[in-house]
Amino acid sequence: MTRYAAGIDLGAACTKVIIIDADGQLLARSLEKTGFQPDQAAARCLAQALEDAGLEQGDLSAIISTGFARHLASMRHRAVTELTAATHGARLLFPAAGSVLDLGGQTIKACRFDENAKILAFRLNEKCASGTGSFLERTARIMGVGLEQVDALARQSLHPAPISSVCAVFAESEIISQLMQAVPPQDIMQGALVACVDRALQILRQVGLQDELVLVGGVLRFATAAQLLQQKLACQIRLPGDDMLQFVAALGAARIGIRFGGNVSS
Amino acid sequence: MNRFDPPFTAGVDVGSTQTKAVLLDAGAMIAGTAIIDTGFDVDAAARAVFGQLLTGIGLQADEVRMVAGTGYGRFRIEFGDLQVTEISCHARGAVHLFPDTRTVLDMGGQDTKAIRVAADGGVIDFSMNDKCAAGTGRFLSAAAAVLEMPLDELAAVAATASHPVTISTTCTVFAETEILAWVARGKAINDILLGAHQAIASRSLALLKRVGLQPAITFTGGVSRNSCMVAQLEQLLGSWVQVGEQTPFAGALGAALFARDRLMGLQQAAQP
Repeated sequence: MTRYAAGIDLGAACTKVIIIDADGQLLARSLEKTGFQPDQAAARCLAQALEDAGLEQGDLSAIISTGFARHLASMRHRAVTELTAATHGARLLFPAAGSVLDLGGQTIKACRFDENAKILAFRLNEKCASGTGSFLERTARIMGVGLEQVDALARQSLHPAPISSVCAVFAESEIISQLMQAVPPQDIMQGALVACVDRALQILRQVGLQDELVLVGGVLRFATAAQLLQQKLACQIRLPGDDMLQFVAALGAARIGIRFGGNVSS
Repeated sequence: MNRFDPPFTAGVDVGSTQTKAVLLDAGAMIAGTAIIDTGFDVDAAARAVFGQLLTGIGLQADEVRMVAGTGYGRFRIEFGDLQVTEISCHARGAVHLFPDTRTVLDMGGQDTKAIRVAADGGVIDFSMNDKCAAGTGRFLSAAAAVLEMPLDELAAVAATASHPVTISTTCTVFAETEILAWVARGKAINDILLGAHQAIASRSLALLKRVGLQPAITFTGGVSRNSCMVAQLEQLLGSWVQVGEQTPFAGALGAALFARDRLMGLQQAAQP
């Protein structure tokens, strides 16, 4: 009998579900806004993925949850940290991966690991929204730019406007005053992306660079962010394709389900 | 008008959120105050509040003999005959309002400062959070925005709470999410708001301890109008916190006092 496993990543912004088989083949994936009822978002998201895969929940040999609200997914067999999940997901996609940089909605995470996906060092942004996806979201909102337009806008910039504030709240005020001073919107948007990338690099450097670096997280949907990172980093960079950027942790969780089953307590 | 004696001096304090002005008479009596929202053009705000101050009291601009400007951070204004840092101004203004002041807590729209002052209003030490919006008025306006309430109603609503929630996030951006999550979990608005006030008060306490907390404590800046914040601070400190109608104007008052010093100095020098 074929074994299947689901990984559920309950992130601050979005909940992601991946279903794979024992060979690591992707059967289905699903994404929705987490909202304020993470357990319900997880249930809906899993149901959708099961439907797409043509499976029943009983067909899954393991359901592994991860993400900040991982303990709220009541159907889970086991919960693992985002770092562990992202590490396994990165190595499934890129067998030579040695580190992960995750640029999420409310978190920036960097970790370095060995060939057995054992984490050697990690660092999180923890208490501060500086440089996270929520900062970019707020910037886009103030500027009246839809998230899907952010990248195209930033691309037009020749002279990114630097942001001196670290705090996302103060940066917002700074951006408003830039707008009032008629700084071109593309330069403000690019400046905001540069600020995010610089913050991520600070966190990454505390962990130490190690080939290959896999970039994941919703912020990298803005191709400019990945390009900026590429320019500033000397190591080999890998970017998950096929819209998998936001699904790497869910994929890793599912992979853990296949490899270790769901019976280990955590 | 007759109650006040010329020459007049004034102080203008351009804050991140509001711009304040104070007019002093020859005897350093407060002859008038004015306040407007700062908006984006800080120089325009300084001119507008000064104009409002003059209109309110019925004076011409040239009857104010010396004007001092103070303001915040990188937007420090170039208004008036002299400029003084806002730390010095708040210290001076607080001691003028309450002469026994030894520690000042200034909570504004975007920064919070703790200042230890000497009896003459001079600054001994200070500590501020200028890199992060946590524990500033901004935290309250964020709470007001996500709860869709007017800012000046927060204190009254929070004061009715009996089971405050604990706001565990430091960052204002994350706190907005946390506040919405509490709403989603069915917590009462007043309990959430009291939790927000407590979070800010406890951050201020840390700042106050850094400068060495000495009584009496005077609370200045826009948030000193917030009675719930005053009550939370008093509870945490276990002592009275001095506030009054004029404490939001302490920075502008301090500036006006520096302007008056300058004018007196020039007049003395001019005498034979």
